[in-house]
Amino acid sequence: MKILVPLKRVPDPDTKIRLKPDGTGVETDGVKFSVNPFDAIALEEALRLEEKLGEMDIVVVSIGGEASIEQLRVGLAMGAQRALLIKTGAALDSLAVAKILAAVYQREQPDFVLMGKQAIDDDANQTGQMLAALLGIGQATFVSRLELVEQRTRARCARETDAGLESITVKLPAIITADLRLNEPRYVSLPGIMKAKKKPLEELELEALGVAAVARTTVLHYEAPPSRQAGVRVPTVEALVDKLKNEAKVI
Amino acid sequence: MIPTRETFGNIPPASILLFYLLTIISLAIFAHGVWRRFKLWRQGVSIDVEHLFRGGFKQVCARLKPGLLRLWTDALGQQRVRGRGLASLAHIWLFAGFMMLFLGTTMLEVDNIASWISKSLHFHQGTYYVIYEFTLDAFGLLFLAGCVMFVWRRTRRPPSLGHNAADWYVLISFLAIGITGYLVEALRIVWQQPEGIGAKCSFVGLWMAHWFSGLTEAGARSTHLVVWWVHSLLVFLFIATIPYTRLMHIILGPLNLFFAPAVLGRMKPITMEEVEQTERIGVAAIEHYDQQQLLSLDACMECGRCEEACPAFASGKPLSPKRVVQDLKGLMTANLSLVAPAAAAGAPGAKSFLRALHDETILAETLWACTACSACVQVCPVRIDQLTLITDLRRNRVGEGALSGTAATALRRMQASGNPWGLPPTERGNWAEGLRAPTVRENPNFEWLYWIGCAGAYDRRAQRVARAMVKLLNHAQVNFAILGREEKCTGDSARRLGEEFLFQELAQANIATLTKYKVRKILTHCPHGLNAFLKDYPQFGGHYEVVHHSQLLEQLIAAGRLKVPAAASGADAITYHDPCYLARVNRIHDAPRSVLSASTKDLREMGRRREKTFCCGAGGGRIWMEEDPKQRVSTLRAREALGTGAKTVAVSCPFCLTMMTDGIAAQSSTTRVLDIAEILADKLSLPD
Repeated sequence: MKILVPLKRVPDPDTKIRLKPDGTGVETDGVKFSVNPFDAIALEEALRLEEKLGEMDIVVVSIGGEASIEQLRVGLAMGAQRALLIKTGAALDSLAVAKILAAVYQREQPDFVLMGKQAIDDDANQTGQMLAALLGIGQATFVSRLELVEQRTRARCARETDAGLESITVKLPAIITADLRLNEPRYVSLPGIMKAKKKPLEELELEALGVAAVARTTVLHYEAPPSRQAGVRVPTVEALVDKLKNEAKVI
Repeated sequence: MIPTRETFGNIPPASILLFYLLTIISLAIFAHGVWRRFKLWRQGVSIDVEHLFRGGFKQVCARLKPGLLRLWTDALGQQRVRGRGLASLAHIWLFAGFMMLFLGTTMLEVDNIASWISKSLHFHQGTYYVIYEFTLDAFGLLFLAGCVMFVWRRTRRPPSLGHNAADWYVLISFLAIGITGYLVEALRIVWQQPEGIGAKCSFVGLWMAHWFSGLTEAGARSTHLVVWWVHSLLVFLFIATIPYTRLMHIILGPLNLFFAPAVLGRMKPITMEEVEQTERIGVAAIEHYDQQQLLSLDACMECGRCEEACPAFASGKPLSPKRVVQDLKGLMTANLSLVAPAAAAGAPGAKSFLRALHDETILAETLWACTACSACVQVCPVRIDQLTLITDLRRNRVGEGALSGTAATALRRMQASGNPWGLPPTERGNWAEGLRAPTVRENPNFEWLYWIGCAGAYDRRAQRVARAMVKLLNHAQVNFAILGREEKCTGDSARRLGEEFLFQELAQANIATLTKYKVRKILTHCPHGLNAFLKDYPQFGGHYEVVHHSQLLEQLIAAGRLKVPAAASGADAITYHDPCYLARVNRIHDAPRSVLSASTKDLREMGRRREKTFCCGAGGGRIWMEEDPKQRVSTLRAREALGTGAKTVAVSCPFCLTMMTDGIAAQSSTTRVLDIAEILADKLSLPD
């Protein structure tokens, strides 16, 4: 079986995000980058499927500059067999990324795509859904439990929804997007990354895929949320009710 | 007449010849048995034994000294055999008897050779003879008593004790050797008829000689010869079977004591060059252990002390240090004695018979259950280092990306944020808000650097310990400073989880910071930080004077800088839980007690305390792992603490604080868990 896992390069979730003073983007100086945590969860799930079901071909793909090689190496060190970098310097939005991934899908012909439900930088949560639509195949999003059934022709998934867990079965090939509780990914050590350098990593210019990457959306401005005001300790329940009624006017 | 006896008296020349022939044969079988195992150990990573003997006489002596000292105290002195009641006593008696009989037999042969060279060199006579015979008879009784006690114990052995049929052979043959030895002596007395002191010195033989008083001299002589042969044959059998039974520990125990690393809490660093060169990290296959480690596997006689001391085993996890050693030994025998040589000789398909080390011999659940508390290493009579056997395996697993789950997340966060919670490094100093805790920049002429550690900085509960400590330091007018946001995780749990390179990265960053501020004296309330500074950081050039807060507080009280009001007699009872990395690994257990006794007159002790303390379950990176509620080590320890009836459980480690708080909360709602600094600050009524 072949599983395609896209990995996005994002600022590390544990670093504090600062904005450029002019609001045109995020300050990247001195910021550590990581694999998007949801993508790492998706890759971990692919690896666990391999451990359970036997050898698989797990291909990780990233879109962006040379810097993304770092994230692909992490993917290889985690256990993927092969990596593919689609090189572009263009600013992309979800649809552009979905179109590129659709082209990669046609090229690789995987049995299914396992990817993060969203990237933690722009939190768009659209690429997986768009990719499924572009390819005309099924999708299972926000997956927190995954199981291949019926001779691996279908995936039985538990989806995390606002109403609770929803169980669905989706016919493969499909796009499956990983939620937080699907698993906790394995740790990648420095020697592991060094060893992974021996695994194949293919670099491909975006043009060579035959897709035009045109972002349909543009970001106008970034601003930081207002810093939180210190709370007030109220002495009694009555005082709280009074504040809620007269100050906050919520009840 | 000078008291003496003829060596080989009553033994015909042909028998003597056969005796020596059998001596050679039994020694040859013995040597073959040792060689057979030696070939296996040799396949491990070289420990460069020759290095010990290079250089001048003084250098060689200095290098041999620690090993020889261990032989003196641990082998001859039987120091590490103690502590197991009757079994220890039985071993010490058997050992003393055996060694004396062995020495006596050797001296007999020395005398035999000496008199063969010249009659004037014969010394087995007179006063020497009397002392010799008396001593050997006395120690022979010790030997037999030891054997009998062991036989009795083996009929009611604890589950931790290894057992097979050969163990009965060993004990029965020992008993038979001892008894036939006395019989030979008794029969010799019957035909020789020695008189006076020359007879009385062999008191056991003389007493037994009465049994044979009815024999004629000729009858005594022929019986003597027969029993002498039985005795000799049993001894030859014993010599020949040493390497094939548990008796092997007679050779390997001392050998391992000599070569084993002897410092608790110290791990061997690895370099990136090594990893590049060998293309592996840690131990992926049995031959990646070093030669001493492989030898130590054979030195194990399955006494089971480690299993009894192991908190993971006690809490029902699939880990027993003894099992790990035995399983690795089995793998060594299987892979290295047959398959590896066959594969090397080019036998087709030989490699397919190799058993895997990871996930087949040692399961992941076993490997990650260890709390690195070092109790197993501490109790092993022959100094097998079960912990390093485990951490070497962990290094490989982490390097190969086989660690997932919450511990993996903690490691990732240590790397990204310098703390296992992944909280912003910029908020590392927030705990000290409103307190007078100057940073090294604000107070560059500090005496003590107070190392807060990740828990003290970020964990809400442990922050209160750091705050109490700061108040005590200010109250006693101690000149101190903190690193604030420049401090990073010490890397202790990273190293013990097997992530050596992350540890080294953190250690190097911290050492650079400490060097920048010319830090020489470090104070910390965290035993894991303390151990890192004492045992880990010197390997990377960081040398400091390090004290635990209990030690500084003890000094401050003694010097009158902290004036504690006398404890009221009706004050709350307190029990103290010793942290492994403080009490066992770094032997600090008096200081915290002395701090506590300033606060209470009723300090109650748990059974397992001081260096023999029982883990809280947090060490070795276990604090970052999920734990089955039915298998919590902290539950066991909390039960023990509650058993003292004390309403306050004192700790002196932020990890223990977390674990004991959880363990106690599940069983009692009226018992508090507090750090010694909090108890003292409270006693001094220092306002928060």
